[in-house]
Amino acid sequence: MNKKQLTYLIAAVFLAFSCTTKPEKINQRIDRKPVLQPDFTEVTIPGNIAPLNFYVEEAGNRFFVEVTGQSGSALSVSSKDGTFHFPEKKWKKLLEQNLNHTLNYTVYAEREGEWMQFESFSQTVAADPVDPYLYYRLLHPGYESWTEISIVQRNLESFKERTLVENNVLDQNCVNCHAFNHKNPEDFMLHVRGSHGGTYFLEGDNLVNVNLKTEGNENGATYPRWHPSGRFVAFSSNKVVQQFHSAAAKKIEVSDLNSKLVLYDRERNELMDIGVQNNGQFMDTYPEWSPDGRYLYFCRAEQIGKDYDYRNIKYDLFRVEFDPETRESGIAEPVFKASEADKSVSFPRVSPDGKLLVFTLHDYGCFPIWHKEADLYSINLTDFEVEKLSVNSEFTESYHSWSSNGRWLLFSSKRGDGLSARPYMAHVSATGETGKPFILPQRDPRFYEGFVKTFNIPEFSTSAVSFSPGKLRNTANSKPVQAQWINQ
Amino acid sequence: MDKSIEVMRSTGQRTNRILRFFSFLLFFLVVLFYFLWFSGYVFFYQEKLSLFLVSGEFLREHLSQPGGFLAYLATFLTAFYHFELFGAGILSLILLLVVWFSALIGKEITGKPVYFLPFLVGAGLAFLHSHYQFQLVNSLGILLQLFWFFATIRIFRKIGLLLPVLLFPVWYFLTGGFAWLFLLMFSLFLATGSGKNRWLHLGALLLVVCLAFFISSEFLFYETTKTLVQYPFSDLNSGMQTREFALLAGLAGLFPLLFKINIQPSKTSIARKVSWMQFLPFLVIPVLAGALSQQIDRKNSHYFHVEKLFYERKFDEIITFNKTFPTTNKLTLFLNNLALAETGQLTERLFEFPQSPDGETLFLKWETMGEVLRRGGHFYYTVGLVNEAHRWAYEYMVIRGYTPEGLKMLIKTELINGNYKVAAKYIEILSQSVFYRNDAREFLKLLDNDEAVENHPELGQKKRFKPKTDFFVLSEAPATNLEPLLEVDSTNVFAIEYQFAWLLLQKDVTALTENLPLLEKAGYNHIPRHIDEAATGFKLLNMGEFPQLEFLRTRAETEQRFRQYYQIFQQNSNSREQAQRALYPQFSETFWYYLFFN
Repeated sequence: MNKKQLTYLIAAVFLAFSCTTKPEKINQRIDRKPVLQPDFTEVTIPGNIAPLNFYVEEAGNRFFVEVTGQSGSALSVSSKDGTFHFPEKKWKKLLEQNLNHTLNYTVYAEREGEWMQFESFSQTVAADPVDPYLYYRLLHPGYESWTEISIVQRNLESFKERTLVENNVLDQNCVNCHAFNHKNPEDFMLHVRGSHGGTYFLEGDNLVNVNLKTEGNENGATYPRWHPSGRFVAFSSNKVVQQFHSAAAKKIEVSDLNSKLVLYDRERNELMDIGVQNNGQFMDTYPEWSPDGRYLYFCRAEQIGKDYDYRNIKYDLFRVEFDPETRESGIAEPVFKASEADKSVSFPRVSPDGKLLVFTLHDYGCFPIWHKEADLYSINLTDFEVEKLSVNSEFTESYHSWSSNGRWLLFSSKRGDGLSARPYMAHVSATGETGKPFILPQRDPRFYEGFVKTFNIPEFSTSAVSFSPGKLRNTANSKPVQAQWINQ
Repeated sequence: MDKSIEVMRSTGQRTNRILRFFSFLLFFLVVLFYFLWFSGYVFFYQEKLSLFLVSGEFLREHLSQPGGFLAYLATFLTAFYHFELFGAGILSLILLLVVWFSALIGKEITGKPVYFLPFLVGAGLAFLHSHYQFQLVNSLGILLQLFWFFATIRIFRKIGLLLPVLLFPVWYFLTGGFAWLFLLMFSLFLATGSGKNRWLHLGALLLVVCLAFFISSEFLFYETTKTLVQYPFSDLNSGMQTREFALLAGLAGLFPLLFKINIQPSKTSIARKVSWMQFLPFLVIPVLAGALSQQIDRKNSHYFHVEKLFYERKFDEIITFNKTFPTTNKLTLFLNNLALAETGQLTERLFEFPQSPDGETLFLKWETMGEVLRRGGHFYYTVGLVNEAHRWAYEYMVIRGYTPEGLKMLIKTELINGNYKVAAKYIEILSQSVFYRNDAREFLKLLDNDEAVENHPELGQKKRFKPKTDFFVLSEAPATNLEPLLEVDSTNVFAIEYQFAWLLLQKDVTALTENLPLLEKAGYNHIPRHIDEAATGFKLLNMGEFPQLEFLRTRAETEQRFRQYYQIFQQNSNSREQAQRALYPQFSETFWYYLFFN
């Protein structure tokens, strides 16, 4: 045997020992499912999602998983430490061949020369695709200070992640409230707070900084929602205070001292109050448009006085009719009076078909990300029936976003460690039932165990936005366009 | 005759070599001795400012911008500042290498040994390093440019100077803003050189530089232009000695020009065996030694010694040290008061040390400046306001990155609060450090183990004193947090000590006396000395109604001493200064003295 042949032989032997095939003999069947991290058991997944890599928290020297589709196709992976990485191409093909079918997972573990088989678990592959992109802000789940904040674009069909904005290029100004017009994802904006402050709108290839702080709007613009026409953006304008709890269960309370709703007309560069009969009696925040743009939903609480108890601030869900031609609004009407149940509402989000509105319900205030009791509820916009969603946990569930086809709900949950929010998604059926949520898959299934930053404001989008550091820097360094305040 | 000349020349050369060797050795030893003996605190301070992690993720983070690799190297070397000897050794070696490579460059350019400029630059850097905030990255950055320039003119000159030109973008990515120093040296070298392609190389170099910078800023890196130009250099990490550093760096950058200035006589007498220029380093080094001796900072040395003991929780040693070597430094006294509180002696020995009536020796008010933010949370930790201690540590981490003590505080507060999953993440990070793995292992034993935390001598105690009801912490007015803390838990002895200490500093004798029943509720078996002094004065001067106490009493000896104090005071009442002088020997460490004369 010559050197070349010997090398090939050694390589073949090595490969043979390192690749594990499906065990031929099962010595023991375990009557339970394997403990999986993340938990991807019995979930409904979109047919275009990246591989749901996972690891099993089970003892063993070698592991094997076989995924069989109802259509007959299969995929198998072996592992030395219980971590399974599914090859992307094979995974994609498996899902494509099993739309509206079930995938069956069987996990095997070898201990001391004997193979064990766990009870199988399944996943359902929905025919409804998920929007290909997810945008979120990454930052430390901290208090007042920040340094590095980035807005990241994640391709949900793969593990590709790219930075959209990193605030280092903006002298570490705060970047936040990135928002898409879900009817036209080319419409995109974000806020920058600091020396390069303003609201940055993406207009084609250009990035334009608009200063929305005007006479009549001294607090500037905060939470944004695009009108489906793309012509208007509704903002809340908030004066906010942060306070820090001494007791262990809570860290921070963020309260509005006052707030109102304003409308920015992009065509005319005009900013005005939205006619919701505020009159200084209420704090209005979290605007949300109906998909046809004819209703504006928002959260309303009684205006607090100088001496207030933050635990008594309760927001109800209201809505008002809006005429985009005249820019005028009707009479604000209550949709859900959470205060009557001694609760508070935040983040109303209407489904793309206009039938369902999902909101966050919590004990008080308007900043539920720091409220462990915060949960997601839905309200049927036909009969106004309120229901608690099945996706909740004993930890914070908050900020949510609908996919463009209304079949996937994305939301932030702190169920992992109680501190950092992670993006979860759940299937929503045509009748409004939610499936079991699953976490955004990562290439390394152990990723979340070591990652200390929080995923903030997760938003689905169908479009890939990008602008270069140079463009961002140039926009930040140029003079902002000043919006004009109109007394409507 | 020729043979004798040869022998003389060879003897002269040997002598020259010995002199050169000794000049390097002397430089190294002077720097080593100074930093090891007089400025060891510099290494303690800088090591505590950063945390090198042995992980791919840590390296990847540093490779996200130009200069990150240099910062990574500097952080790695700074990790070894954990031991002062290593720190002094590393720093001395880096500075020696700066001198050495400068000398090599000089010899390469001129063909002759050079003496003065290399030692001048090395000495200048050593002097800058005597400022405790001047970080290793600066000298390391210069060293790497000298090394790369030497490699360029020594190795690449033979194989092709186009290579270092084309490699400039890579060098810029690795060393960031320090690469401009190499650019300056190389440009001057080309401009003053004699090669026929030098203008071509220079033109290509400038073109490559402009292109690399343009592409970096426009398309690659999310950094400001200023950061792209200067990182990892910053005013902060040069101890605000930017101008001085720029001068030194500029001097090094001009080496290709300066080395060509010939100050030796053109003909050297055969009889002159040893060049007089070789003695120049022996002029520079003593001047350096003299300058360094002027930089010896006992105040900083004192403070950082106390801080070191504080992190080791050697509270008795802190108190003894400050008693032996009195200080008026507020930060030192802040730590000293924490040590007194942790050992139950705050209201017993408060006035043995200088105090600030505005409370700045008791609490640090919230601000995001690093020096306050790094330390202020310890007050909250001592009194059991664990959430607030966590906040200070967390904010510092967000602003400055992971540090050993900051990370430990995060871990401790998360363990106390039972947030084991979060604590696990921080412990994992600490376990990736070089010298804190044992700490991580100890913390690991407490994970998911409420009983172990409760039984832990430090964490268990803090857990017991956590606030029982919730309130919003006012970090702009730290003292105001003590009352709500004590309202629901009067057994929190640390909060009690600080509450009374604050009343003492404010000279609020009435409020202090009204609060005496708190001591009984907390289980005190005697009234601490300064509280006793205040209460005695209140009683004997009939300042108001003395509260009913079940078992605590003011001491008879204290009453006697107060009468003595009062008598002496009255005898000298026509002159405040006279009274102060008369009372000082016996009563300088009493509350009464503070009350009347602070």
